[in-house]
Amino acid sequence: MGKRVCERCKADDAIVRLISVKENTETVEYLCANCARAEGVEIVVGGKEAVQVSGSGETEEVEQGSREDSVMCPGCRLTYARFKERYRLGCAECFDAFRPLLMPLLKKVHGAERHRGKRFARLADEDITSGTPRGTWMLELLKRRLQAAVEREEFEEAARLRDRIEAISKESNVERTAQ
Amino acid sequence: MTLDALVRQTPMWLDASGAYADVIVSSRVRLARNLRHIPFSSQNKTADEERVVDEVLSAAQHVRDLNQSTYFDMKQLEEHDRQLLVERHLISPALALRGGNGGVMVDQDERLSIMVNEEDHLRLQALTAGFEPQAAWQMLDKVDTELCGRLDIAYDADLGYLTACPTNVGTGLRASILIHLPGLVLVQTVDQVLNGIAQVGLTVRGFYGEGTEVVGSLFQISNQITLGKSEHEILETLERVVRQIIDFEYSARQTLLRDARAQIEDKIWRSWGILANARVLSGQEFMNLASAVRLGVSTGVLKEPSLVLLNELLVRVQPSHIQRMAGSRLDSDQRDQNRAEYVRERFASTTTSSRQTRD
Repeated sequence: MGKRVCERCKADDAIVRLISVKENTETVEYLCANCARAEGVEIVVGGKEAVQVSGSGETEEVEQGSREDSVMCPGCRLTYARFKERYRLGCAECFDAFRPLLMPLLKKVHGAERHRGKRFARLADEDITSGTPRGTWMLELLKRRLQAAVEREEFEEAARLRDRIEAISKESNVERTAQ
Repeated sequence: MTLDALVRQTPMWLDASGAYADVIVSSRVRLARNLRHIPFSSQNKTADEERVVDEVLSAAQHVRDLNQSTYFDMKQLEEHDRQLLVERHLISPALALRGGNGGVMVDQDERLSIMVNEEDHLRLQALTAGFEPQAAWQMLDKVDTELCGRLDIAYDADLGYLTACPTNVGTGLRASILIHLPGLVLVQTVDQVLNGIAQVGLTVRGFYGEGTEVVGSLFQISNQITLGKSEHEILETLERVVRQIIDFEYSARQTLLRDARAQIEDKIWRSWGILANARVLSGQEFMNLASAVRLGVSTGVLKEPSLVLLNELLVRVQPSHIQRMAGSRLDSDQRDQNRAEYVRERFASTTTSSRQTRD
């Protein structure tokens, strides 16, 4: 099936062929995922189960490939179709949203489906800020914030940041001379 | 550290120390990491990128190994200065192009670099001289634990570290070895030797990275698989295969010097002669001649220059470095002249010093 534009919103790609039967008259409409949902069509990923349709006497069919394409990550709103185009995930949540579709792909690329390497471990809260922060890092960060504050014309914030920068500069100079 | 100071120094990974320095220039290991609650670069906005920078820098200030590092903000760098960091292997061409809120933390001797807001929020990299991927990994593992342990990292119990590209999921680890194979190129078996490595999940690229041609017989060999194997296993496979390639290279060099000694020596000395005397030198020509000279130094045909100098030149004769040294924008003809002059000077100083030590 070639690319078809949704007959309702005329914006997105049509991925659902909605066949409505009412009073013995059959109407066929090509809809995008959103307009189809508005009609009460639940779009199911993969699998062969029938798509549920609310309302009376309606049936519809969904192209297998298109069903997958319309899956959208709730975290960053990336669709699987867009993922296939660019081959890049949009956020950590994509891995949950697309997992059944991603697993065969990962298997193909890596020949495996399970991580066996280093496990992520977050440091204990008290360790996260342990160690004396070095002046350079703090300054780097504060200077960036100062610049942004000035650009936004938030002068109170800018003044506060300037004071902090000055204080830290003095401190780190002392530290360096001491070394 | 300023960019000027950076340019003046020779990165540690070029000091020709480490195992098999006569074949292997350097080993590099990188890790891809992302923050859990912020969209990856393809889906994020300026505000998201700023949050990434803030969180990473805030965490980094508590990491001892990063105490002496500098953060270079892509936004504050001119295009040719970003290119300079690419030439020094501190950032990827993608980050240089991307600009935006990207940046890179670089440690004092350029062994560690941490790209922020590249394709992944974090790309941590360790570079070592010679064939030392394990040393690079150890250094990186420690920084990863210390830095990422302070962040909320996108990690999945089944899939490991979550990355923008499915090819990096799992360990997020890519190790690559910069290897010089003039012997295999000359005996024309290099394709045969390298073609097999895809079967063990490795891949070969040119000196300048993905999609680039091979110049100066320099190849980068790296792992492709990141999921289902531990970091240790990935490095082991790479090391095992690279060790075999090193053996093939040694035996090719032996064959060449046994069966065609005069021709090989002639090629090496002529290349040396051109580098020591040329008035115009393109980047490509330099790479090819320097390859022959490197072969000469590695096989003992030449005493000078040192491998360190040859390594250093690999970086210093690239366009942005040449321009930086000149202090002005140069067209390509002018660059070729400056390159020739710089190489000539460096070659002259080493031959003078070797003469002095002999006297």
